[in-house]
Amino acid sequence: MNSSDHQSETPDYFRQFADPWRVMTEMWASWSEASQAAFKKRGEKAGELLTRAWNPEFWRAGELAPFIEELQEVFSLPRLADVPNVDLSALKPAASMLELAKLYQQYLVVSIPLWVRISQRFQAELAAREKSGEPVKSPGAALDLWNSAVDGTLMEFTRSGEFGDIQQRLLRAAAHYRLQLRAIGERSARAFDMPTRSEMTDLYQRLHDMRKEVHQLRREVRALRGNGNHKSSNAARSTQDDEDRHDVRPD
Amino acid sequence: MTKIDMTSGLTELADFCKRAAAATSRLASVREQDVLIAQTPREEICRVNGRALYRIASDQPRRIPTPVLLVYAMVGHWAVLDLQDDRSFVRNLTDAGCDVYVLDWGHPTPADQFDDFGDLINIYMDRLVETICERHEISAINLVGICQGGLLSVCYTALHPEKIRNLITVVTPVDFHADQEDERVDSGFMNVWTRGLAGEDIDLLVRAMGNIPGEVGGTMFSLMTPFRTLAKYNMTLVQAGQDSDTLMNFLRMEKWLSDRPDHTGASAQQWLKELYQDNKLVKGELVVDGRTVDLRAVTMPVLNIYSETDTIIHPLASKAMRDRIGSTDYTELPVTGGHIGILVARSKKVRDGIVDWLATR
Repeated sequence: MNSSDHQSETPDYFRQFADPWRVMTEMWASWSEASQAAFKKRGEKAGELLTRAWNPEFWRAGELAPFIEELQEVFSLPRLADVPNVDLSALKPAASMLELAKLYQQYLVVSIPLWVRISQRFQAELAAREKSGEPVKSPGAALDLWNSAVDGTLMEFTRSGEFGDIQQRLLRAAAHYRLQLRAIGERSARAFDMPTRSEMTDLYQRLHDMRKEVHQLRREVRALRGNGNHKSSNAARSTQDDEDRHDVRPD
Repeated sequence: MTKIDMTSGLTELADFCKRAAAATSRLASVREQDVLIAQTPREEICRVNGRALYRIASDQPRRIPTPVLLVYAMVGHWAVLDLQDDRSFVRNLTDAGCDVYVLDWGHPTPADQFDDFGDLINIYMDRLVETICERHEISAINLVGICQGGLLSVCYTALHPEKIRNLITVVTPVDFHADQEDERVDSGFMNVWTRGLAGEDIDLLVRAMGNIPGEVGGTMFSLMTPFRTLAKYNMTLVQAGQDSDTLMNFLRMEKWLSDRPDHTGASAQQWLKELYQDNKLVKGELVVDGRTVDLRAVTMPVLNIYSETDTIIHPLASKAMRDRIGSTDYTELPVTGGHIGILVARSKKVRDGIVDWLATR
């Protein structure tokens, strides 16, 4: 073997390692590009959502159901025909329930101090009566005073911004929860080939629009027949009365 | 330090127990079928998609020749206007010589959830007004609207002024932001509550519920008078139970309160968003079926009855009608009493006010 033969073997030897190494590197580069593409499209929003989730204020005042929807929006993939759709819909009812439970706790936090305020008001009123020379002498009178303190304090509370804020969040959470339960019910109804609420609502909309159109047409017909003549319109009316009597259900 | 006499306390407690026992005894002898409301004889004239027109039977001479149509709110059933023999708004009017018709909004079903103000006013109300006109061979009637029914009546009158001879509104809100001029703890809760929500919240509520359940309205009313709510089934019931008539009156009110019809979703959206939140009526921005409701088109005589002590509708919300309508014959009749109280009171002040006013028009 001469030196030229030795030189040609070395590149082949390295090529045996270099080629697979290069292909692997290219593979990793491709995955890296894929990650960058995904991050560019979704990363910023995902980061914002996860940052929000780490914020204690979110767990106090945030709304979980819309948060789940945003998460779903960020991480969703295009629908594939022959593969089951994987989404976060199973989490939504749980998120809504959790939110309602959270709000209930917050409602207690806000409403319990009320009774301290009521007691203070009661004490102040007792003292004022004592000072004015009209002290409360009987438990009945004291109870009346207590009831008055309860009434006044509760009425002020129900008009407060604090109460309004809790009410608003409670309304949203309860509505979202109901919508999530409806979604579950609709999936079950479809599985058993039964009408769903969405289908019925769509029917009701069409029925309403048709009824409105029919009333409008009847009005135009009456106008054309000359509604100013009561005798002739009474005869026409009796037919229309029969047509109008289509109750959906009795009272 | 306040000294309370415990001896008198024991006496009071014993007395309360005695009264509670008496109330329990009376309550135990009342069955559900004994509690009857809306017993004044009436005749069903026609029915449009579950909304009925009744004529109240009367053998009294007619002092007011033009028939009167009563339009109550959709919140709560009209039967409160005929609670019992001596507390019947409809009977008061018929006894005073009016020919009274009543619009019954019925119990909306999910199929009615898309009924909006246009449907309520231009289909149901208009249809029933035309029916009365044709029966009596007249071109215009007297319209009495109560609370939300009053608001609908005002809108109807503005859109169909030629069909209304005289308009009477009872505890009717027109300016939904007027409570801000006189903020009171004991009035205007609904105004404060709805203004605390966003428009999207109302949309979400309607989307989730369809029709707004009657229980939602019931909860709102409970929040208006929280202590009365807390004390109703202990202190108030015990007090009512001391007298059979008072107990039956209490139970009739309870029967009426327990019948809470749902509110059609589309009209609830308009009611809460366009009126309570945006106050569009007095701004001239309320649109019904493509037509703007112009209060200046209300040019016939108007009698506006409101309560100075109304906890649900702030009196200023009603009084605002004075400067908004086009009528030159506008009369106010302030009364005192609760929102429902003035309708079920034994006093004939409201009745006499209405009939005496109508008699000269």
